[in-house]
Amino acid sequence: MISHITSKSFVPLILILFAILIFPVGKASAQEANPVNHVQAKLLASRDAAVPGQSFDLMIAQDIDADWHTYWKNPGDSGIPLSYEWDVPEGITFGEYIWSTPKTIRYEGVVDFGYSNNAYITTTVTVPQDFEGDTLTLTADLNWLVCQEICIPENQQVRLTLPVQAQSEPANEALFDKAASMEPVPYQGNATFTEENSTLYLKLAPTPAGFNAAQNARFIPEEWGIIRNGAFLTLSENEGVGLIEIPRDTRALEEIANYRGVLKYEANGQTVATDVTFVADPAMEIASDNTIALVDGAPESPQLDAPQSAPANFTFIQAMLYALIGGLILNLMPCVFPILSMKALSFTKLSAKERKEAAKHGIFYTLGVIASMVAFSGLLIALKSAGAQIGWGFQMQNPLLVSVLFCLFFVIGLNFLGMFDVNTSLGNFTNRFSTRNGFTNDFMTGVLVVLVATPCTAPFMAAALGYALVQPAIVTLSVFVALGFGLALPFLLLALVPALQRHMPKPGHWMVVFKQLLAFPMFIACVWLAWVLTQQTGANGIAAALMAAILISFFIFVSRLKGGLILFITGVICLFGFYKSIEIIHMADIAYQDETPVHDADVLLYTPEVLEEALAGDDIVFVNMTAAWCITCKVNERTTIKDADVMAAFEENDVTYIMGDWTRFDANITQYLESFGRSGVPIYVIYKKPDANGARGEPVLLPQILTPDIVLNALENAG
Amino acid sequence: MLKSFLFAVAVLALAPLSNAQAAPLTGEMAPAITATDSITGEPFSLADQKGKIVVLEWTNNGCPFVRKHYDTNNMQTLQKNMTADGDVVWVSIVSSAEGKQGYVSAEESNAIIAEEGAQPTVKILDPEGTIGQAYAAKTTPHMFVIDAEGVLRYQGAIDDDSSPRQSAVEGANNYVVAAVEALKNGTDITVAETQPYGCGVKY
Repeated sequence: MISHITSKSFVPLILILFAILIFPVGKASAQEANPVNHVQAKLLASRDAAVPGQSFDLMIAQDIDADWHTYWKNPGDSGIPLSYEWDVPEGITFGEYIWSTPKTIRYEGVVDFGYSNNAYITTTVTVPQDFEGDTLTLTADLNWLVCQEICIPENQQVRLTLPVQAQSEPANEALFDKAASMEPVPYQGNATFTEENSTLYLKLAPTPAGFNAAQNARFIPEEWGIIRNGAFLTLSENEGVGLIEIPRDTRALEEIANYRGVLKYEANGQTVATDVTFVADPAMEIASDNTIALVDGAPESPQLDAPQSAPANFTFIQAMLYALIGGLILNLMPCVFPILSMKALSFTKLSAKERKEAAKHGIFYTLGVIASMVAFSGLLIALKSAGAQIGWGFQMQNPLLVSVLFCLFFVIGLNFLGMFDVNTSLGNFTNRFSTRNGFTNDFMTGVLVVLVATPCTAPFMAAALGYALVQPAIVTLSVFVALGFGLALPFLLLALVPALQRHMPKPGHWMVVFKQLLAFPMFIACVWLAWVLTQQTGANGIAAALMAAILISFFIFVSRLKGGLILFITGVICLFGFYKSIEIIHMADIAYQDETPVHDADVLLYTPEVLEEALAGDDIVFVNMTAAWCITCKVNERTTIKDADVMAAFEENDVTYIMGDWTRFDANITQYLESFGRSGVPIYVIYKKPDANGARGEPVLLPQILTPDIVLNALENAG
Repeated sequence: MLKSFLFAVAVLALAPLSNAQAAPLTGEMAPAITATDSITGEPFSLADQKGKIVVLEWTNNGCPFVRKHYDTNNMQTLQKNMTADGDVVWVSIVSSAEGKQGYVSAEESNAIIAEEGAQPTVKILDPEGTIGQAYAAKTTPHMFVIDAEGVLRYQGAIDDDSSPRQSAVEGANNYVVAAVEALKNGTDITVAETQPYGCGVKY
């Protein structure tokens, strides 16, 4: 099917040819595209032929270059909408033009309504009953303004030729469906407005779909001067009737003939756009009793236009999904992978009888993982409700727990190297299944896996967990359960599907070598934990932790040689030494907290006062919340923040650099994170230069994985 | 400490509201302007212009809508005719921020004036956007007419044809001319507020 014929003179010829062949003609169109334009326009019909006495849908499609935008019928504060001038045969009539739902485009003080990437204007074309001719040709001169930082007026002539037939078939269905999905839905109900104290009140009875869950709400009027463009709306609902408050612009209401506009918001993960025409009702009652629930309003949603996924934009389903994926990824973390590998290898040694039990092993393991996740989130919820300012990763803020994990990883490493075998229920993660031990083993392996996995928060779990921690307890729990399920899933599948087990490699000497090899990721994890400890406690703390690890090893060593009294005495000595070590770590933690952490001279350490003072100044402010145990933070600092170009750009733009160290617990930083809907580090925030009124606009949240380009671009936009 | 932090958060939360600038009200005192005339380097104050009609023109040399009025000599003719007998002060203002499109230094601005044959009484460079924000200037061109008492009498588009085509200048109904004429004749300004058209001001 030929869809584009570049030479106009060929059009009639080819159409005749098609007619003779009774070939299913799609559409024959000549689109005089200008290759240097930033927008390419096209004319498309919903049928493959024009039928006298019938109508078809017609579309003006705009394909807009990346980063450029065109305008809606009311362009907002600046810009010009697309205009069309038709050249069509007599008798052809056009219905109402329906424009795709626009976006709000903000520049400093200017707020526009328009489009990026794609935009569609559709209308209905009616062919008169007595239409004569073999073809119908529709031609339009299109003019539009396309802007990036600069604006360029462009024009293009578009033409569409359809054969005139007694019957027609649908055409371009996918594109018309897409256009329809981007159109606002006409509101069916009673819509009224009134003005009071420079506020416009809009009433909707009944409320449109999703109103009660609306976020990011905007009203985009067709006429200029009704409201302050881009103003935040306050939405409220009372017994099925919705009320919207918007700051008025200065243009007198009586001058405005048309109170139609698009009410646009996000609700339940979908964008809802409603086309509403409001009727004046000066006697409207503006209910202000307490039963009205605030649905959305500026002060409650500071980051409405923030580019990052704030919790407001995060749905429950999405959070569950991200948590599940995050859990899956945790399986690959250096601390988790070796343990799971050994567990998985146990399947190679199963006897036929034991194989039948495999599913149960998998289920108990999963239960262990989920139960500890639930316990973990329960603890988090309990601590939070008790007023503790903690977030995800808080467990790593405690040097004692870090030391315990350090010792645990070290001992697991020794076990992998073959220094000893453990037959206690807690440690039997490497041995073959034993029915005598029941399924406690599997359950405890699950617990262990969660314990070692918690420090490794995969980057995109941060969003899901950030969402989870500011939700009601039941949602928080659900997200953690999803996380645990994701973590347990690979092993569970292996246990449940015998076909997978059969694909396991044959047991042999290689397994011993492999097990020893896996000791090294554990030791690497130890190095990382040791490094975290140095940040938290300095030299004393790390020496004590190393001593503790050696004492445990020594105790294990003795236990394999001797029993009875000697072992008992060694145990007592080791326990005492271990206790002393812990005490030293604890003291080192306290002592170290009083010292100011080491940092570069021109980096300010975060406190709310420091930030407030910086924001009162005239410079761009960059906030970096980090922690020693946060690998993502460290990578970003290495690759981006300490990048020569980035450092030069900071210098050049006089950026005030504020760093917060969350390595140890800090309530102020936790609060700061929560103000952006996050519960963990890293977080990178840029506050733009203040405008003439001293307002800095919305803070810009950078992604959690940085590149120098991201920071450089953000700085450029913030100047 | 907690309170001041929450205050800072609240301020940040409310900050976006200030993005939707409130326009000055037609019929009320125009916002004050104190600046430097980039042509002469002399200070300029709106308050000192009492007794004269003041026309404010937001401009940006690279904007196609500004080009429409300058390339057709329309803007220069308006400036020349209106300021000829000394009772109208024409102020051209550039609010493009430094580094943004349309930003000019005083030297560049003077070169543009010479090249275009523009005849504003005063030209103000406002890279900080202070004056632009005070007037909620949205587009280039965006026009304001202030009467002899300092009251804002007209704000909006220069004329009623928003097309960027140069041919659109001819036959368009010029709102600024109408407003200034009405002020001189002591008659009512029929259209006191219109939607400005053009490129956005590059604050």
